[in-house]
Amino acid sequence: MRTKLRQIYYDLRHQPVIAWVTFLATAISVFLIMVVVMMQVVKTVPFAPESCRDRLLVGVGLHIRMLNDYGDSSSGMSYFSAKTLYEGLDGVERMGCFTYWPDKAEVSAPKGEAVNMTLRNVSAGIFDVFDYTLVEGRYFTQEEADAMMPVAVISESTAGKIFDSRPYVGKDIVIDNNPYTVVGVIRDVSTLATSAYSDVFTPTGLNDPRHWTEYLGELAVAMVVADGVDFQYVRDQVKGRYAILDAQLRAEGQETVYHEAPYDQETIASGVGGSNVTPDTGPERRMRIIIYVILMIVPAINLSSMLHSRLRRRVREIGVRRAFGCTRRRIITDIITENFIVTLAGGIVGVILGIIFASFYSGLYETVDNIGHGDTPSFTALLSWSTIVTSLVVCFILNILSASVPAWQASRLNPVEALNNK
Amino acid sequence: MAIIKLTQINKVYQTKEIETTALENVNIEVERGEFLSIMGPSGCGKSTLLNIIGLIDKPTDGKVELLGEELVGKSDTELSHFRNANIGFVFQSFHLIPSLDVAANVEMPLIYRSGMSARARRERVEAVLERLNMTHRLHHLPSQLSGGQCQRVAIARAIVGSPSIILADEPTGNLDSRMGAEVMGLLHQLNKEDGSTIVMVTHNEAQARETDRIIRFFDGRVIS
Amino acid sequence: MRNEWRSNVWMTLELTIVSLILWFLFSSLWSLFNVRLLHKGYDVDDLYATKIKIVDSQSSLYEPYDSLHSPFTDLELLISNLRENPNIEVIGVGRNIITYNYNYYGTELSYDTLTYPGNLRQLSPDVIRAYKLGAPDGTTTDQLAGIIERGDLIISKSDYDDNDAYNPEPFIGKDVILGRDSSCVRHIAAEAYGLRRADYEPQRGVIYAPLSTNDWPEQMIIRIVIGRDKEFLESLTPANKRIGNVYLPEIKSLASYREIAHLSINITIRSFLICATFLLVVIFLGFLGTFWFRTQERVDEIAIRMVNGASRRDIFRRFIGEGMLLLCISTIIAIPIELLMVHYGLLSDMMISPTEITLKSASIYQAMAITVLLMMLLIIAGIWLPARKAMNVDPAQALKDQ
Repeated sequence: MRTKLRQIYYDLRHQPVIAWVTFLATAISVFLIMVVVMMQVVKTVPFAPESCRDRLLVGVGLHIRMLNDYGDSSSGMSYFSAKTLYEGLDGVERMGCFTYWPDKAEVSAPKGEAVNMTLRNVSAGIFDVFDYTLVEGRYFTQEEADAMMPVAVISESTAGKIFDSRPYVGKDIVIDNNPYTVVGVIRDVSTLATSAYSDVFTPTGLNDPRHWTEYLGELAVAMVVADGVDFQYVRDQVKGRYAILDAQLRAEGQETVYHEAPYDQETIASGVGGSNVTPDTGPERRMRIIIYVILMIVPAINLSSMLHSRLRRRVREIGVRRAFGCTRRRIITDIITENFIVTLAGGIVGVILGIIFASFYSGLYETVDNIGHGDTPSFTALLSWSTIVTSLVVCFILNILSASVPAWQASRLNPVEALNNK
Repeated sequence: MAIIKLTQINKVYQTKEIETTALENVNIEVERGEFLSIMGPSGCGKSTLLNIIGLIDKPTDGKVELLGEELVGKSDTELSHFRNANIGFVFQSFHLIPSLDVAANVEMPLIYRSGMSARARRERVEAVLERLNMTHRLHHLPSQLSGGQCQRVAIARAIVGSPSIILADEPTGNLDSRMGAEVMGLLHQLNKEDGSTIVMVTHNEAQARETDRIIRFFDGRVIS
Repeated sequence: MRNEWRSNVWMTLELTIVSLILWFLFSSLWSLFNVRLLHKGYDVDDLYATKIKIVDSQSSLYEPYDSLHSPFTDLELLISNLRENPNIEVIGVGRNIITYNYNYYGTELSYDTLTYPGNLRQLSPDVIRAYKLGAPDGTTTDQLAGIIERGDLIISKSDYDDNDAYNPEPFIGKDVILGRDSSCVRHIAAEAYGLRRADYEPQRGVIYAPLSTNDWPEQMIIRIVIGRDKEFLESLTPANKRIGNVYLPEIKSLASYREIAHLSINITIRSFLICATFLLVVIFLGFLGTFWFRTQERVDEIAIRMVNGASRRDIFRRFIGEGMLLLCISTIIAIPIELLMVHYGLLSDMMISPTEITLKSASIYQAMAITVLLMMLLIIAGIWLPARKAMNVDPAQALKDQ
């Protein structure tokens, strides 16, 4: 191995331009692939408070159609339909309701200067589903929520903006001109946590007057599925619950339209669309694959031609090795291994650049409600095993793409001609 | 029994319009332990013959038997293994790998031999280099050595795998006479002490005369 | 030479692939920019917008009304107070009147068998004045405001596609049914430019209708005196933002609405630009490496050329010429493929173009030109260094080395 490394070093040092081109092309290719990977990782990797992303399912909307075909309506759910469709499913550990598309609200201390903050109405269960960090007080209970008690949980920075001093708990707060009392303060949530993020949480429950109709409202349901339970098993149960709702709706001349709810994190990440369509992750996945292919094929052609140039300088060496009994296959595997080391070196630099870029540049992430706070993910979220494995795989594929043709050509060299090469 | 037996070897190079005959009906037998020189003017087919014996070139037709084994028609992989086990090459321009140090150059043939540990390889390399008085240059690159030293390293590489046949293509062609004599001495020593069979192509009449037998070539044919 | 032939094939292949991708990226970007550059027909500078909210009647902060007052009277007072602010020029209210907003309040106009679908924007005449809305036929803002004032409708053309359904012409001057209620007959008096939902979206059909007196105006749009942003924001008192139960939650400039509306598309644009830069850098590196190697390999050839009278400039030109030839070949291969892709609509679902891409779209040809131009620049940049090196070959030395 040391011999090999020394030889690579020697080889590269004697062709510095080609060495640099090889190295840079590898590094930026891996770098960009990692940026694309991380744009996706940010949307799907679990991090607090969305630590449950791997086991998270979200039921987003409800679509109701008139039986006489006169029309249809769709939106979020009312608390009643959320409960009917999603409460007490087998294999689901925790569930809670929340407004999927958060609102903006004017928040102030009584008679104080108002600030505009993000607001979500949630049921108490949401504090179980997402692992917020409580820094003061407590969360509200479902009993309080069902009674529409004016209690609120707010983020630390929101509290800091409107109140002068701690403790914040017990203080009165005005949210969109409605008086509330702060019962809990949580640590700020990253805007990248698109389901869990909010500055202000107010209760919603069975008696929430803000629901549009008995069935439709603003709510979505988030649930954590127990380990080892198949998502499809949960979906099948939900489909059964739709039938229950249908039984009731048909009496009123309506029925539901089922859109494969609830959705996993990947679907949420690629956008669920409206509440009257079935989301499809296919096009986005295809687009991503096309991007990966482009980001690998184009530099691979370059790297291949650079390797070809490097090998042209080593034709005699290949001839000597063949003369001393090196098989064709061994020539191929040796070149590919050697190239892998070079690719890996460039790749490591690329990954490091990728991680640095991803953690400092926020311009490529979709944030909650596109409010553009511009949070960036933490190093730990980015440097997961999956990132490392992905980058290794990328390097390997890049290596195979770029090295196989030159290696094959080298292995077909006639030893006699190779030895006579000037 | 002959260790090298070539029967009715023909070698024709075919380009678009011209057909060049490099070897014509060549029959050669070399006994085990023999030191044979091949002489002849440039372009007479000496090197082609050596390459055919060394299994890196194929005759157009004819039979090549080495160590009693018929080798024409074997797969490239089988030939590679056979070369690795039984044949050592020494070239006129040394053909050391410039990016490898002396030890690694000598070790190279052993790398292609399965079932040899790194430690065993290193011991073998050190033993061979010690025999050739080159241990002090173990970690030098070929560019840091003189021509004579390079050819010693090349000889070390040729014998490190204990082949029974050593093929030398003008081994002294790029050396001055003093170093040439030294290299010749080494080859004779290998021939005597190890019983290696050596086939050497040379232009040097004096060196040829020191060997057991001389085959003279002219226009692809053995003339004596 | 054979090896160079092979490397030329590889480089042509690479250039072809890259030019296809760049062309795809630039067509998307260019059609976005074309839309952005379209004449809007209204002015979004110096505009501020806000929602108009009413305190929830359940809230303990709700102030009950007597028979003379209502939220409408509160709003009237709030607006007349605001009008006294010297920094403000015009205040308009309405529903669905903010341009940087993806709401689509779809409805349709119909008469005989013709229907015209559009995004319904209900507004007070002052909204037209605030936007300084114009019309393609030169109808002035004040005339348009007058039309709304007397209760007639204005519609706009849709550039979304060539569909005849979006042609407003047959409707101008006609009495039409608005929506599904056949008793609601209105007169269409003029065509104006359409308020778009975002700058990257072409004008869609818009139906401007007067805000009926019973409808609560949900949004307010304010035109301030040019350049008085700071004074305007500082001059707003709490009483300006709240009268009785009516309040304005957040007065934001249209620029900040625009920022939010464009966030997602900006991410795509950024990604595309990064991707294009990457590919151009790869081309640069590829040519740098390959031609560097060629210079090394060809020292003899260069020396012989020089001995036979080639000037250093000739050598340099020859290298650049080789690169240009490769670019030419790859462009000749790429263009028919691009046209075929457009013809068969292979990329239509992946392009982020706001308008339909057809063989008639200028953007695909503009993108071809940009692609070739940029690739040419990067190829020249890549070959520059090796070509300089080749220029400086010393023929005597080179031939001696041989």
